Amino acid sequence: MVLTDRYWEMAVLGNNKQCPKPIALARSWYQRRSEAEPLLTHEDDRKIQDYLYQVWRNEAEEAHLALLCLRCWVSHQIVGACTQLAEQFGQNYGFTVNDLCGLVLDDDGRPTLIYEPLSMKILKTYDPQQSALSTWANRITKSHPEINKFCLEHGLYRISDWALLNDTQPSGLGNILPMLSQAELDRTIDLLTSYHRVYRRDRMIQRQQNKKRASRCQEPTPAQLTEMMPDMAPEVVLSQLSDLARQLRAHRIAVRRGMPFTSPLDDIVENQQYTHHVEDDSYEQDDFIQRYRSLFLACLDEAIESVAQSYVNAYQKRKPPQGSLFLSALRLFHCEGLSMKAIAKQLGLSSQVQVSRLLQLKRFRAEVCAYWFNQLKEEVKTEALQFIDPERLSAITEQLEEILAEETEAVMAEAAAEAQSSKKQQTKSTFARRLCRVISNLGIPPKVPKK
Amino acid sequence: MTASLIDMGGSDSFSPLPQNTVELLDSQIDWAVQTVQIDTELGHEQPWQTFLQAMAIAGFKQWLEEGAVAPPSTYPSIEQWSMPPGINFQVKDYQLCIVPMNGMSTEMVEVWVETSPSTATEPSSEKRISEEQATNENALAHFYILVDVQEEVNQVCIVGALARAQLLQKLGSQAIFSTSSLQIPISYFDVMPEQLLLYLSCLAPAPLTQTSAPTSPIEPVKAVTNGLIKTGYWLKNQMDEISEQLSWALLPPMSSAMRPVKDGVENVLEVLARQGVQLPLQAKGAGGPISMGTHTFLVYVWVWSVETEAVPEWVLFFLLGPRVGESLPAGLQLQISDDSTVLTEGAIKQSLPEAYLYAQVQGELQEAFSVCITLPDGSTMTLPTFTFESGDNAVE
Repeated sequence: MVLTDRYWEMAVLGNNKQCPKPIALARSWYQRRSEAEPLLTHEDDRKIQDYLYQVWRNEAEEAHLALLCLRCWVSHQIVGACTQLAEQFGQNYGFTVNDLCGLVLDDDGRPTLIYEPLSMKILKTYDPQQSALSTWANRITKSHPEINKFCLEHGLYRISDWALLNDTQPSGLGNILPMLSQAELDRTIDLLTSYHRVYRRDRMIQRQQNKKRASRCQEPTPAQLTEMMPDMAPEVVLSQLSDLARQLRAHRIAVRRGMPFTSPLDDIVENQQYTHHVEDDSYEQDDFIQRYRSLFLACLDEAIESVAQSYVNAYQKRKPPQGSLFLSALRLFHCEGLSMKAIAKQLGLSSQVQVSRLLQLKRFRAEVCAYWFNQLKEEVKTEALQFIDPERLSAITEQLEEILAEETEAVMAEAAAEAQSSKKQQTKSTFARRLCRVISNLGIPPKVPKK
Repeated sequence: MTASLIDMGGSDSFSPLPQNTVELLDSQIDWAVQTVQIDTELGHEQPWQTFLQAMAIAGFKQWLEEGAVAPPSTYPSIEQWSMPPGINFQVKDYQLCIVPMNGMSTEMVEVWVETSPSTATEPSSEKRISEEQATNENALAHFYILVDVQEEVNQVCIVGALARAQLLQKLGSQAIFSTSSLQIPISYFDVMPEQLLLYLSCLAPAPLTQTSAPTSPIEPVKAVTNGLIKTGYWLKNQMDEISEQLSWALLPPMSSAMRPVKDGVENVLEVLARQGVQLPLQAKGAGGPISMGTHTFLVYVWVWSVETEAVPEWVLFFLLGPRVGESLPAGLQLQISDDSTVLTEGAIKQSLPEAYLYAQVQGELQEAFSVCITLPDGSTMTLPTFTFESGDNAVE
């Protein structure tokens, strides 16, 4: 039993969210038709769609009604694709299924169309020989330019088919598509090489004419397709290229999976990482660190203050200026101990990913360490630090990081901290404590400062 | 019931933009576009590669400058690039090689390991190469930096870095003969961008000496097929004359404990171990590249002595492997013979990165073995004969 009401209820936008809208015309036709055709009530979706598709394509009189039913069904698939994206990314990247639906759910169920909604685009380009309608609808929805633009603004990138093809070396195809016979592989290499010759050239020309930004890669024009493969019909070339892109995409997803640098969320933290103890009793501190520990701590304030001020200055130069936004985020995170999610809410940012991008925790700390280290090198004036190898630097900076993460100082200075603040005592790392101490010294530069 | 109505496939084709992604400024894109124009005027014919390279360089510079402590950096103009590029970026005294990885459709990237002056000079170019530039071209990169270029959206992502010393260590003996570019796995680039920033900000580069990196390009190895390889020398940690002529090198001693950083030899040993082949700790080896036709293979040879029923004998273990990122071709054959008969032979059935061709023979101390390699096209090469001689204890 299938949910046949999906063939006469359309998912539409109402009050900025998607809701089902019964389409009376579709319903009466579907019910009338199912009396003569039991398949419409008992069989599976695929068969119903095949049937409706045939009616739409072949029966002149009732074609528009079968199409209306298909449009209803496709509208739910569009919502389904948006739901998937929102479930996977929405929370971290700050959007909801309705934000996405608002971009693509543009069919209102009128039998006569005055513009082409996405559902229509999906159905017009659908080839029952090639895939299931559900798969096709999902694919077209996710490659919709508005969805892609919106997602990119929120920190999610989906490479277009055309950029993906641009981005693949013909010589690598053998590895990517090992199931091809030699003759098939040769043909595919030929196709991709021809694509590169024409598409890359035109894209460079476009860049040279605009002198800068290029827009997202668009589907090749019929003229481009003909130039690529003069002996083939343009639509055949297009479909072969699309098919190749689909396979490349699947391969790329498989390759990317498990690559360390594709997990960008490691910087989104619940604001506890600065109070954890490094569980380490196995290796000794670098003797340099031991000797100069007190000096390290003395130099720390200057390092933090200087790096933080540079960040504020750099953010202030952006358009629009973000100096005070950064400063607020820094304070809320390190001094108030708020989570990134809470900071996003308080500062009016759409997602915790935006907060993570703003704070750049890892880089910020690396730069504090770098500044700190260089400052010490000056202070100590010892040969010891002038010629050290990368391994030793790593060891030293790791230990600097440990000092930053320590809580011991917090314990020693507990009395002072309590006197300062009536709030419940939070355990804070050295880094956070020092930062909070200097943060009031930081200022927003009035004008763009010259470096 | 409802789930069956929704296609669940493929929403993960959206991928989060990693940290350390920068969107190029208009001025940087302008520079990259102009670079392509100049490059085209210079007669180069790979504008797309040049463009990606330029975007990668511009993006790296922008990324450096976004921080608080941007170390001073420069990059050469296009006229000073060599294709493929050796050094294309400088931060203080660090020479860097920015390697664009357009997308991640393959697991390998090409790096320029050695720069040889002859390939860097375009004969057609009328530009005189200044002394400084010539020095640059002979210079080596301290770090290779992998940059993912998302051309379509004008963004680049700094993925990771690889120090030259680590690269050489990972390549093992293969580095000795690499006169040009090499395909290496992108997993080699395991220095995180923040860590790189620390190195660049805080350290002076260690001089790249001959010992850490052979700067002079090695001539393609001449086919040495005559003479005797006296493997007994290897047991005394010495090279024999013919092995030296072959440009081979002694392999590191066997060690029961694997080091955390594996070089080429250890990878080979690990693969062998997985296949149940364990060489004895006292085995000593030498090896290096050999070229046959358009192919270059890596040879690893180990020898050790054994006693069989109180008779001292020696064992020769011979292994042919591919260069990093390559595979041995299907149909490649190996044969080991004594002076009259073929003792063992084998062939590569399927071309796979970890498919090696190896064989082991054993004989009395004065016995000699010859190794013959046959390419899939039928051409053959016989290496100089292997003996267990060590010079000082001539076998009766």
